[in-house]
Order: sequence, then C-alpha cells, then structure tokens
Amino acid sequence: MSSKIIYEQQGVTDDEAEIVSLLKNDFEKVKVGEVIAEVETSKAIIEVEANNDGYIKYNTSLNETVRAGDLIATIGESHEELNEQSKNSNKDLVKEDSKEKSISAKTLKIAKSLAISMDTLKDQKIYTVEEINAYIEGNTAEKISNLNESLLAKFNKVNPSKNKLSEIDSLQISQSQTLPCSCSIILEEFNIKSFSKTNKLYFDNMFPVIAEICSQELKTFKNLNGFFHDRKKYFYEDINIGFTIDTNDYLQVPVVHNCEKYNKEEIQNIFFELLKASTTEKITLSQMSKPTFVISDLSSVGNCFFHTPLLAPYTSAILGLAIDKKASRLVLSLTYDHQMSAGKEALLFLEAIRFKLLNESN
Amino acid sequence: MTKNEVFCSVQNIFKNIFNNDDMVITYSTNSDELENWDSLNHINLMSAIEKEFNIKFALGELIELKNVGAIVNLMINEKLK
Repeated sequence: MSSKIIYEQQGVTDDEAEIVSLLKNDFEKVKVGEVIAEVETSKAIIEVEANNDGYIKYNTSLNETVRAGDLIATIGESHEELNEQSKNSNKDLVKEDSKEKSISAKTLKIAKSLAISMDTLKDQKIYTVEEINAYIEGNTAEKISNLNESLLAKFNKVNPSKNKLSEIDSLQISQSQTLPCSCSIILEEFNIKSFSKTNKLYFDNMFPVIAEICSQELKTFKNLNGFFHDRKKYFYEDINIGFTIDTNDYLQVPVVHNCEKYNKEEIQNIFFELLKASTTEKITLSQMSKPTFVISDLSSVGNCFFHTPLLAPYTSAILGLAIDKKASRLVLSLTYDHQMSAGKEALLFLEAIRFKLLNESN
Repeated sequence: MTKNEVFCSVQNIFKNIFNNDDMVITYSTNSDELENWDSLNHINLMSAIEKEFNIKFALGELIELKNVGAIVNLMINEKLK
C-alpha cells in the first residue's frame, strides 16, 4: 500500500512554503526517515522525510509553493503501484480520501520519541501532528493530576504563551523531562579573603551573599524559580534556596525556606544551623524539602566551570559557583531548563548577580 | 585548667577528627595549612570541643576561630573562666 507525504503547517503563520530541493529522482528507492525534500518557510528550511520504505514519486516540482495539506510525494511498494497511483490521484483527493490517509513523518517522529506504538497510532486513527497532539493532551490529563502538591512549594500554573518555546512544544517533551542548558560568567580579580572579611562569611562560604542576591533576582527572573511539567510552566510563590553538601558518603541539599524574607546575616545563621545539623546527622526531612532553586559551591575544587546535566526534581535552575583563590577568580555557572528560560535570560540573571557582587566588593 | 592542658586536649580532638594519631599542631596552625580543615570539619572540631569542655561557641566566634591559638585563647579567656 502506498504512503503519502503531505506538507504540514510549520508554525502559526506559515501555512505555505516553497520546495527548494528534491533530493531523490522519481522511482528511486528510499528508506523511512530519509530526507527526500527541503521546503523553505518564512523562518527556516525544513527537511521532509520519507514516512515509509519503498519507491518515491514526487507530486510537486522544484520552486513550487505548497500549502498545508498538499501532497509532496507518494511512496509505493513498486513502480507499477506508483504509476497506477499517479493516474488516479491529484492533490485535492488527499485531503478528502480518509481511507488512504497515511501517518506523516513528523507524527511518526513524535510517536517514536514518546514510545507510542504504530498499533496505537492506527487504533486511535492518528495521522497528523494535530491528532497526535490531541491524543497526548488527553493521555496526559491523568498524569497532571498525579502531581503531588504536598511535596512541592506553593506554585502557580501558567500555560506557555505562543512564544519561542512553542517551537519546543512541538517536539512533545515527555513528562517532567528537562532540557538542561548551561552558561557561565567569570569575575576576574575577585579577592575572596577580602570579600569574606567584609561580609563576615563563615569559612569564605559565599552562600549567604549569593542566596540573598538570588532571592532578590528570582522575583524578576521567575522562570528560574519554577518547573516545567506536562507542557506547562509552574512558578513558585516562595523562594526556597537549597545548597549542596558533600559529606563524602552522600550529597545532601538542605534548604533555606522563604529566603527572600531574610538578609545575608540571617541567611548565614540559618545556613550554619543547617550545616551543623547535616554534619552531626541531625538534619530532618523537612529541612531538605521543597527547594525551588539550588546553589552548588565547588570552591573546594577551585578553578572549574560547574555544568550539571541534572536539575533537582521540580526545579528549573541550579547555580554553580567556584572560587579559584590563587587566580582570584570566581566562576558562576547556571544550568537551566530551556523549556522555562532562554539563554539570554539565563545570562542576564548571571550578569545581575555579578553586578551586585561587584557592588558588595567595593 | 592551664593553657597547656587545654592545648593538649584540643590536640587530641584534632587527632581524632582528622583521624591521624601522628598529627602535630601548634598555636599557629590554621585552616589554610590543614587541607581537610574545611567548613564541615570546623563544625566537627567545634562540636567536639563544646562537648569535651561543656561550653558553647556563637556563630560569630566560630567565624573568627581560624587557628589553634585563637581557639585556645578564647576558651581560656572567655569560656572556661
């Protein structure tokens, strides 16, 4: 049975595109997933893939404009079948002839990424991206209710607006997965000894100062104080900042809750009590629960860029810092969920911290 | 207690915390010299001293106590009076 490759709308405004290359010859053998054409929308050149193994026959020509729903090519099991098809079919029939509907390559790709079987696609009569999106929406409804709110800090839910992230939405990121990205900035000529003395820091540990600054900035950079779940953004109302302690045996993340309510001296007191509780193994579960943002200090290692591919569950960012005492250098690295924030926002956040640190130093 | 007695007790606590019976400290030994004298082990040290001498250190004091001499002096002049 033949398969049809149909042009699908690529964005909100792009309902048509131009065929800029046809990469095969008519009746040439193709394999599923192989790129057979390229179309140019107003934003990008998009590859069109074969949705089946077989022989290809184009229904469009180079530089032709195609609209959503137009037939780009047909893939048949034999040359004869293709010849027969070309006699009987035309572009308009494709939209109407539901009996011969085939699953689009993009739909197959999404199904594959979410481990949805071919049988499910056929049973549910899923052929297009819209149909698989609708299926996933329905299928995830139950899972959304499974979000255990008692384990999380207070949050507000927001549906993503039609912004750049909607392009990522189309990839259908599965449940609570993150797309971690990282960026770093360096503060040269940073004298930790003098900074520590000025701010009366415990063992040169910058957490109280950084946590105070982050608490202020996270009120503005809300995307870094939330999480992404079921294609929706959630923003925490509180700012609970966790910090990592490596006890050699295991890693702990005690949390300073409602950090935004405290100044750096108060944060240092809480930080010290948590540190003490952790060291003496008297820390409680509630003291390690509901972080909304995490800071990890790798200054004991020294000169390093701290990039982690992992984020704490139900958070969207982790700030790594490392002080190289010999080189008088401070490196700030932010790993963030790209579904929540763009790179520019992450860098602006780091810049805001740098600006305030420089003010604290002077 | 004499200053020397306090120092000897503190030295034993250091040996115990850093798990090194051959460890030798002086009044000038400080956290920059001892690799493992970090913020976590500082808490372990101070907690052990507090327990041994039945005293309490404030956070502000702990921040300043970066060498053995400062620890012993604070104990002799303030805590053990």
